Amino acid sequence: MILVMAVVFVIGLAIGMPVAFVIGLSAYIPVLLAETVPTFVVVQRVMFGMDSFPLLAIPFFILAGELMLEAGIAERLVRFAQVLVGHVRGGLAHVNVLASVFFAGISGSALADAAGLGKIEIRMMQKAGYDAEFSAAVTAASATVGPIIPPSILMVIYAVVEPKVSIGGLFMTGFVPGVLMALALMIVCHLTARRRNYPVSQRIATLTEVARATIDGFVALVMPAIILGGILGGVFTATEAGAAAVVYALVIGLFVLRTLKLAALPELLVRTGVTTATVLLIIGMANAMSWLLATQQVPQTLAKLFTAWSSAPWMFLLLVNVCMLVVGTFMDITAAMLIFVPIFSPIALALGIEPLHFAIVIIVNLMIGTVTPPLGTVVYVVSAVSGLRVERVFRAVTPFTLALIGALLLITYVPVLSLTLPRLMGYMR
Amino acid sequence: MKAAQQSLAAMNAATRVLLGICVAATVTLVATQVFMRYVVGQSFAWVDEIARYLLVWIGFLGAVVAARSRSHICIEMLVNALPRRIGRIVTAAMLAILVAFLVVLVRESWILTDRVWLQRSAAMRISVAWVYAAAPIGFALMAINFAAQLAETVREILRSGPDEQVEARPHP
Repeated sequence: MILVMAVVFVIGLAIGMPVAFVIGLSAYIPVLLAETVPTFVVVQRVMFGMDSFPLLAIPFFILAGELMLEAGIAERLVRFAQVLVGHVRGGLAHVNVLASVFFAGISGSALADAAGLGKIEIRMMQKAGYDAEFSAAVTAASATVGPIIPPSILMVIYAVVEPKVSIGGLFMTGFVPGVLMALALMIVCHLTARRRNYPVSQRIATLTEVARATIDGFVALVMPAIILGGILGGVFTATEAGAAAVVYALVIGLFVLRTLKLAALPELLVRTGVTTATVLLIIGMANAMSWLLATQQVPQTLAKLFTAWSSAPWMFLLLVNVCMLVVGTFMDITAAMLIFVPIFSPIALALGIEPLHFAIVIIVNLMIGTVTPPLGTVVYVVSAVSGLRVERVFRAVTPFTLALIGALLLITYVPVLSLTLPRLMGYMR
Repeated sequence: MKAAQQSLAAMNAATRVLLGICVAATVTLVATQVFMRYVVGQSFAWVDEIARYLLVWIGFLGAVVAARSRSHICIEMLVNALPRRIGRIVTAAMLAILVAFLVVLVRESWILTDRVWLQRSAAMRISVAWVYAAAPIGFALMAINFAAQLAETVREILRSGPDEQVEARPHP
């Protein structure tokens, strides 16, 4: 049964069938062949997977991000980052990373970062004399920080599949790893800038300039404050925080900045619906698949096999690191998470690994997969935005990928880095 | 042929409008709920329920629009690496399998919708068939859109000779 599932899965992916239907088909065919349960149960599992209040946060976060981008918030964040770090050597590369960190607090999606912010960042860096590959590489690599720093759509989905972690707890866990990743990227920027003698683009910003850019950036940075403050303070659920963020973005765009046109709204709503749907359908279909895997006792069997072989948590984490890096390179990250988390999570629990720590390891791992060939989705988006060929972006991003893997190892083997914040906030015993 | 294309376009335009309305409605509902709870001090269970049900509809309607605009996530690299004509044939085969699977899904989800007809939702006491109906409708509209793409791909294969050398790939 599992063999049939795997064969259908690999063939489906190879011939270019949309991932959601590949997953659905590989859950449906084994059930059809086995004739033990009626086949409509598969569709029922798909419906169960999609009908969820927490998942409503997905369209809300996507829409809030779209509204902020449409209102021209990306330029403001870049300018804010520029007055902070623009004056050092290779300054615009650092600006690129820092702007992504700020934007991570608004969008929670790496693709929105790469597409929305990326266009501005690449244009700016090229104008200042950076080569195209390097500009594209920094943009792609820094986009991976988006879903690690809260809020994050990926974390919402994780918390829905794995009830042992809460959305708030996951958000808190992401902070330090996100900053670590950004620092790792900035080290690479610094070394490259020194070696290639990149321009020092700017004098140090004057105090008035800093003040003006801070006020400009402020409207954007209030948004993560609403979302996080609301969730952590126990005022909002993540879904309600998402709705509040949409309202905030609308008010800012329509009445404060007045850069958002009402005529643009219908298109944004439809685009949000489509993006949500492509993720949601994968979630539904993957729910059917993990139901099937569970009825076949696959997670339990694997857990037994692994614990019989080794009971060292570090060994397991290393295995997960390697496995998820490989999986993340050729699979959509949402799908990979939905399929593998239910399989790995019981083993992690049996070995006494803290669920929040395990979650952040998986998520960081998968994000690195978005900048590695052959299927680094973020690199594809950046390649489209910059007009560079995909292979060239992949080659240029490699030093950054290595730095991110370094950060990943640190996050994996020094759990206290990620866990201190959630522990202080009372998300763990 | 032209009439079929026109009605398909009209259907997709209607789907887009409906999708936009669903997204706008969920945001409005949940935002109002937040306002009611913290400012007025009153909240309604039916609001959360209807927002959840709308999300299911967003999922299926959005998937229809994504089918039309080819926004579903897939790996095209292997197919693109093949010679163009063979790549198109593989794509046609993939679309044929996909359409067949979707037709099966329409039938399965219809059986399911039929079965839950008498089941009532917890808060609003409406038939949950209103939610489940999104599946057969959505799968059917997706099947039609993918079938249209299949027809187009087959026509391209027939039109082009085995050693054709024309411009862009079918899948951008």
